[in-house]
Amino acid sequence: MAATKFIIDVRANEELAPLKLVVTPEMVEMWGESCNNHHPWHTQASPFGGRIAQPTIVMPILLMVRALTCPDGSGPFPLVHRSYEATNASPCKVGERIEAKGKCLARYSKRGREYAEWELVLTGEDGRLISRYKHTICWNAMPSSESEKK
Amino acid sequence: MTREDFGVGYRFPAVSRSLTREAIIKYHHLLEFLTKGSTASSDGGIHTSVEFAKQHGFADLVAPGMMTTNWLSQWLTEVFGDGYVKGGSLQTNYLKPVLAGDSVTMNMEVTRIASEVSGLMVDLGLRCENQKGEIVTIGTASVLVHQRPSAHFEEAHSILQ
Repeated sequence: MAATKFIIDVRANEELAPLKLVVTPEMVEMWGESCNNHHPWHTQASPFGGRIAQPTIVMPILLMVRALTCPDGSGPFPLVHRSYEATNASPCKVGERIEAKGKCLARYSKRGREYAEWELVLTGEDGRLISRYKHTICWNAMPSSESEKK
Repeated sequence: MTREDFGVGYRFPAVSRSLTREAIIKYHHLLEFLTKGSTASSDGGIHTSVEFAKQHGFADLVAPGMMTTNWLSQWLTEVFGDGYVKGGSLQTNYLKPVLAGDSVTMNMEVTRIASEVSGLMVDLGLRCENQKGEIVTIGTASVLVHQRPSAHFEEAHSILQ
């Protein structure tokens, strides 16, 4: 039986399993609906030749990628999203096949809390960079043994 | 706004959004479905259970921080268009929880303008405040302005109102 792996078990510099996926209309519609973002570039057409995904779709894609490596999610240690940092190099078109590569950039303690920084790089099938995203989370409470394992 | 108004220190007309329990639960469920294909195990936390949120010291459901980031990103897309979605950037930090029933006002101010070959690179300071005036989310963005800004900004702002 495969060992349980929670998000908290990922160490600094550990790469996540890469994911190739198609950014489907349903994904873009669902992400738009979640925040009532019905901008016509995401729902109808854009100057880039067809619909494009919201730049912030990098966040749910990071969660998808992380779930491949950490199928048991946050487990017994609830986490909090602390910051979002994305550079939008090129729009991601709806229907486009992309590759998502993720990594845990850093683990550290600050003011009694444990933090983890994640990076996600999205590239198109043509090799162009779509987005580079940094996602920071923290755990409000974590056993000291987890700190010592870092 | 005229072209002459657009400079460092310019503040865009603020935009407000109200947050309901239903909106928080909807966001949480859609994110769960999008990333896991199911919402089966997603209930009972601070985003979906008022009782659980109160047990953990919150007066009501807590909105995921990403909700304010999505609103800011949408605003940047409305105002700056391709100058944000192609070559732009957004950074946000979540300082205080946003709760169901809160009204969040988004503020955007020009902090730096630099000339580039293809236009103006504009740095922006972003701030989301709740109805008590407390800053809940703070951030920065960079966008490229390709065209004469005034008409574009007026049109974008009218869409958001």
